[in-house]
Amino acid sequence: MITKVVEELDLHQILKLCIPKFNSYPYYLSLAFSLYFLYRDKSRFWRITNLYMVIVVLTQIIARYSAKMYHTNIVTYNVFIIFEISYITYAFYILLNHYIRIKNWLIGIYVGTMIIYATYTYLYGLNVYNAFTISLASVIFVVYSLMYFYLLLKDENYIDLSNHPTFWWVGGTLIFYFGSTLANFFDDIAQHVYFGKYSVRTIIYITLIFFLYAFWAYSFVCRARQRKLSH
Amino acid sequence: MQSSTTEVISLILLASLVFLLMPIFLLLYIRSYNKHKKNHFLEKQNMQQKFESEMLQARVEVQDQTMQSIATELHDNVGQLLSLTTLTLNSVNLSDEIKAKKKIENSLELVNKSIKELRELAKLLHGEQLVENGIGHAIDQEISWLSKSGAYTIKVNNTLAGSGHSSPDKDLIILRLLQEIINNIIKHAQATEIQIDAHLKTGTLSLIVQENGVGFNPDEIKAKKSGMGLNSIYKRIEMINGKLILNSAPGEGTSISIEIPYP
Repeated sequence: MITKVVEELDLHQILKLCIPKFNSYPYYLSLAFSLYFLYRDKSRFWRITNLYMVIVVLTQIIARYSAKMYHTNIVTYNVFIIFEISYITYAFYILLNHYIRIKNWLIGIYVGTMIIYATYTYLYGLNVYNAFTISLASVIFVVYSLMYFYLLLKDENYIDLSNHPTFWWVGGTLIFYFGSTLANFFDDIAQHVYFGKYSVRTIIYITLIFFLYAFWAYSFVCRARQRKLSH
Repeated sequence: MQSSTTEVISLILLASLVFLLMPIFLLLYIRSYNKHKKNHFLEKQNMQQKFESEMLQARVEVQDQTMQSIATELHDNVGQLLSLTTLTLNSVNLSDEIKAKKKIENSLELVNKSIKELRELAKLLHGEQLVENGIGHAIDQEISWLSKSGAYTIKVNNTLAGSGHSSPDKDLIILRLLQEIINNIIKHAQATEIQIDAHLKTGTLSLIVQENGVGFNPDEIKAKKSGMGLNSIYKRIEMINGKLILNSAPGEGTSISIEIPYP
């Protein structure tokens, strides 16, 4: 049962929640990059990416609000998992579909993951972080990323990777989910071990998030360049 | 207790570092592999360009050769026939009807012969279409021009005309090679007999040209890196993954055997 610990927040306090803190800089910066470099993009994938970045930042604000109001923001992150898994699966569908036809596999795996998510939520409720689903999804995304790189290497056509947006997007995704697999593995210990002011888990996640959004931000820059060149 | 916590932190951070470095190294490896792929791609592109430029060169040479044959034919054959026709017609004396009739008949025969020669020339003008009709056909055409000179006894065994296979780029190169070999025979060999064999067997086209001319020392010619267009012949053969065997010795004629994967 979630109970309110603070009655109401005034406008000033709500606005304060929107100002990024040290650990949320990567989200805001990545959103800024996506808004600036992708707002004119006609491609559905990049438009959805833009929208996803907005959802990411909104989740951060809502999570901070929840933490302040209810002392817990697990519900927010549990709901966000649905957006995260859906977006990443969609992205890999677009990227892998370029090389092989595995639409049915991707849909099957996505539906399976969502069933696991729903079952977990049904059994433990939304107030328990759905670590199992996100751990499973992490492994799946690592496999997708590796599959993408394998197909990229196998492809006979040469691509300039330093300016190839999807390469950097997948690169960031691989680093993040590969790292999170380990973080999820050590989750119980890492949460309670502190290194200075922050828990080890937080340090690991901040590092991974930094890599993820830095790579994504660069992929947005590459995409804008690619768009300019194609015109 | 403090030491055990530090150990746990170190262990977790170390494991995290390893997990972070692994994908980074993977990305670096992919980039490095991609650089190799780029070099390979550029090399392939370069080779393709060279091949295309060589094809263009061969096409120009085939056209050039055709023009030379036409010029020679016009000058030596058609020109002579028409001159003779003019002379015959000029000498017609209308008062002597019988002689005049015979002269006009002769002139007509000469004009018809000229027309026939011009038709043959027109066929030759379609130098590239020759190749379009198949390499067997092109080889026949080339030999028919050579035999018209009457300077050689030519034996031909060409089974390519009915093979039904074609490879336009290779055909052009093969035709050009044959032209070059025939040119060499005309210019240098002083041969009296030429034998040409052309056949296709299990994906390999063989073209063998033998003559009984003065022959030469192939090593000397290769060392000179000039003359007879041998280097260009070797280069083109290599370009289409073919093989050339040259047998020659002073006074013993020359035999050139070409094998090309075909089509």
